[in-house]
Amino acid sequence: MKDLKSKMEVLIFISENPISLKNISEFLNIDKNEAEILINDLMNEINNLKRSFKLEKIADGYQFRTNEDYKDLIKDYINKKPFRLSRASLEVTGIIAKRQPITKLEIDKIRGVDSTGVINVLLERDIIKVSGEKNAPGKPYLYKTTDFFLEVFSLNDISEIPDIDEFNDYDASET
Amino acid sequence: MDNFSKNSDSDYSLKLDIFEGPLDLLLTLIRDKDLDIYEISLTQVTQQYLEYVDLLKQINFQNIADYLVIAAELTRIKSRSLLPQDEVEEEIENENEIDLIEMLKEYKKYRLLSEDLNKRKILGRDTFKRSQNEEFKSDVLWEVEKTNIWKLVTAVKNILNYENYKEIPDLDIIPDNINFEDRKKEILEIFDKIQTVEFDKIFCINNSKEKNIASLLIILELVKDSVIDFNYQDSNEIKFFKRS
Repeated sequence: MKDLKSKMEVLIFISENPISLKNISEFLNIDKNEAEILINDLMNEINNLKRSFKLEKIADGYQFRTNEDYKDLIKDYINKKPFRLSRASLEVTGIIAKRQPITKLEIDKIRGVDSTGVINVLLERDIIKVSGEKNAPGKPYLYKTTDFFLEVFSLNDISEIPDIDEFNDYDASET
Repeated sequence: MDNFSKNSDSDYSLKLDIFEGPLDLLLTLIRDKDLDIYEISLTQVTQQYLEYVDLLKQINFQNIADYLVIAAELTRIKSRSLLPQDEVEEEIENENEIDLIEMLKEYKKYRLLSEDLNKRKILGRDTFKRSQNEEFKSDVLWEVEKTNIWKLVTAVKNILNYENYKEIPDLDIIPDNINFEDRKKEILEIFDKIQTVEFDKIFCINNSKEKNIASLLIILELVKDSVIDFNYQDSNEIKFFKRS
């Protein structure tokens, strides 16, 4: 058991992107359910150590990530100009995440403004992708969020995004 | 104003997505007055909204048409609110009208969702993964824009509303033929010398209206290109600073 967990640990350790349960269990030739129990165990063990990194479930896979306490140190070390996500692009990301697949025209309609520039930035950054064409006049592109979107926003699954109708009751506060 | 647009705007159309759009502006105005989304609230912010649109027109803002659609709708709602009740009912039949209240309510949900996304642990901002690349790719770091651009526009708008600009014939303001490149150089030189630049170092009632508007355009561009940024304290006093 210990051996199996260590094997899983190294596979996750060497992967830059979240590695799926399917990949792990197939490679180690064990049952998927059994693998999941072991990984959950492993996650608890590692995360209880309270080290500078954690093992997290992201984008339907597993990934080592640094603890938030070290974010400033890491940013100082990398010492590069961050890529800046505008408030508008965050808004469009949210709309696509909730309403996907969705066309540009439908996004524009919600925002009351043209979203071409924002969509291009999000495509370029791999946050969204074209998932097909809508069967409507002009065959407009349909957009979807990517797995990288889940990674960036620390989501395991798109269903973790809150229900926007619940936002109805409290008022918009400035952030 | 004509002076400004004739001479200098052809190369300077503002293609910014740092403005979230007309609904965002409207929502901001409603929120600043502590109102909820009702028709009556809309009539209370219509005048203000039109003033912003007027300023956006002057900086030759690219998406201005989207703002004008909402402006027309606001004006329609406002004039309807002044009509006797029975005439109102007739008018509601108009099929072309957009339901601004519904639009705003729906938009606000997504606005809140984006704030919710911003509160999550963002990879490259709050948490980091292993990198295969020792040098770290330049796209490893992320950040989300914090500044609310309307704060800046509001401050400039307040300056432009100042009495000086109310067409006093013998006032000693020569209509400037603003050269954008020169003004941009001037502004960049200020940022080279000073770490934190006060708002009135750039925008000043003693400057001509044209110069202030040109400055706004330049500052917005510099903010968009991540050259500079600004913050504001509780006093609403805006300070600019150069981004490292």
